[in-house]
Amino acid sequence: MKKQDPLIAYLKELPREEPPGNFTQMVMSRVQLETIKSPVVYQPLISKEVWRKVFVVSGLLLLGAVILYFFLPGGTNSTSYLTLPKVDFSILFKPFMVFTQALNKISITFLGVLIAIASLLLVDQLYTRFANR
Amino acid sequence: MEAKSDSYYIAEVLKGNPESFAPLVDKYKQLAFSLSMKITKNREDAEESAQDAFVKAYKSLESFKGGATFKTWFFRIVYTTAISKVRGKQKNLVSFEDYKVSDNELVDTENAVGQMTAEERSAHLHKAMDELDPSERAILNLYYFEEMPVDDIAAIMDLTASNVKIKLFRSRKRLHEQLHGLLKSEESLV
Repeated sequence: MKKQDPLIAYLKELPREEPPGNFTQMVMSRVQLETIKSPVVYQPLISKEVWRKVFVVSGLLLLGAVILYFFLPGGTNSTSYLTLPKVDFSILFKPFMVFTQALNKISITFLGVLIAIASLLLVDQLYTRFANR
Repeated sequence: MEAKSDSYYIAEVLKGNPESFAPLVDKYKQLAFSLSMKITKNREDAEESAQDAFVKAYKSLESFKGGATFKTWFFRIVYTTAISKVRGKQKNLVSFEDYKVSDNELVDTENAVGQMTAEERSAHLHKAMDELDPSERAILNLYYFEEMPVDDIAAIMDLTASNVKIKLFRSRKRLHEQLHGLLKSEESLV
């Protein structure tokens, strides 16, 4: 590259433009203003990653329970502890009758798990929304 | 006071200490202002543009991954901020752009400029620089004043290294042409 160009040498002699003396203070006052303007953003109590794990584990447990129900001897004649009394999921899921019939006979623990997840989700969302106000 | 590295101050800002941004402003304000001035050609615009660039850098500091140096990353912000400021203001330029000069004329121009006093030379060079496109002034500033490597200039201006070399060559040539045109127009006035 041609750096020894005389015109470029003259160009380099030109004095540098200096910023005003209070430049740093002016920038910093704008920076401080930006810091104040940016509110603290509240994050949900439970991260997306944890939610993902909760749903995957719950799904796997549910699947496992359904499989176990069909493969365990005498699965169709459910024992009392596998029966979910007075809650008929088949009303909600008529198209999936076989599946819902299975659900009806799964332990009450699952209902508890589902309610717990839904409650956590609700609390998490409420916290995030109210904290950000 | 012992000067710490850019990454130290960046880490401090990201930890929630905005005052740690001040040493970075002090370190780069001259370069940022100089480049903004070359592009905008106006002191007020340059000051505003350089300040905007610092605030933008502060706000997007989290996105600085450290792949490039902070200087290159920041100069890209300075460059794009100043360029967008002058966009739309370039239509009223009176340019000597149609002057095509021979090698002999170039030598004559260099000699004429060499014989001028420092003040005259400075005034003529400023006028000739002002006739160049903002990106041409920027590239000459980054390469000759700041002595930045071609690869860094390529990153700042979003060009390939070979494009930077071509643009440097053209900008230098245009500077010669502008200066030649300026001298010619002065001769015709005499």
